[in-house]
Amino acid sequence: MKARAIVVTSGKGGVGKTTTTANVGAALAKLGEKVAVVDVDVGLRNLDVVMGLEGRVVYDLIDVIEGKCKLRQALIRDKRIEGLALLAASQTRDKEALDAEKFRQIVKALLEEEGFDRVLIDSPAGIEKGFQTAATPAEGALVVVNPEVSSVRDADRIIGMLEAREIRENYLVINRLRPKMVQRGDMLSVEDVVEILGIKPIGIVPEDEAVLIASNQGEPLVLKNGSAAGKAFLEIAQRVRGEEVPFAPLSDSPGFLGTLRRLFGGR
Amino acid sequence: MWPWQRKSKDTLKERLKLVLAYDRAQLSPGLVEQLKQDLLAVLKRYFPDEENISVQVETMDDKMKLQADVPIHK
Repeated sequence: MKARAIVVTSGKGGVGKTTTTANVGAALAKLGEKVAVVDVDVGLRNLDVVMGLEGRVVYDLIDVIEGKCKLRQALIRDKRIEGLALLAASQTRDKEALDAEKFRQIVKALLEEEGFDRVLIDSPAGIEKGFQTAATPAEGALVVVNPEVSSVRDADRIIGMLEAREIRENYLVINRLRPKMVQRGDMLSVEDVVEILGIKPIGIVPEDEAVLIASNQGEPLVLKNGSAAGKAFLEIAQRVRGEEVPFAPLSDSPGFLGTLRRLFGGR
Repeated sequence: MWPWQRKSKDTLKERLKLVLAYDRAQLSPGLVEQLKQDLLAVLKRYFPDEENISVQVETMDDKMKLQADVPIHK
């Protein structure tokens, strides 16, 4: 992606915005980029806990905006991954405290003065002011969608709003896909979601217990080895960087029964 | 799941395509339904003997089309 300021958004809550921000951010840093992840969900901050950095938050985004501290003081450097830093949202204030223009300047300062290669903005759910503010400095977007009815509908709204803001470099992160359900026709496939929403996927993340376990432990998935979701997030980061990574077929092995069913023409 | 049963995702796909067409057009489905009924009533007034009048909403890509079908016999 050419975009250096990327908003991670979805419309609907609970589909994996924060997980995506944390993991794609960590993966980009692991690949050598200098990355700032910024939580814009003022009042409901969560990126800090998902990343396991909650114990180190002293200043937040609103403090920077109100001039209570320098931008650099509010940046929490992740000691586990060189190049990764978090700017936390305020937990005690409300969304009104975050001015869109001032937020744009902060993102600009991160890229131009603090030397970050990329800024990932974790947008709040919804389509109102919080999302609008988060999208203000963005040049591109990762639209996180689950293959289910309400998430797809909300993603469509968000894509419309991004386009209305002339943010054009938008990609889908199809999250929590269950290959077995897709196989038997009880879940939209990647192709279905792409056909309905009309923008390209940049990653397909299977439903994976490792995601919850990693967030329990406050450790980005991409720092651990072996999980399918961790691998998917790493691949998203590679594609964000412009690397050609083929989409691996996401099929669970069909197993004995599956093979039998297939032999007899079932699904 | 048997081969002759309809897959639930196909039902969803159809529903989503229609609902997104309404969303994108900023129309409420109920309003369009009323319009359909009104159009039908008007058409029947002018063609009282015609049985096969139909008014349908179709979606094509991201466009929606309201289509009235009125066969007129000589």
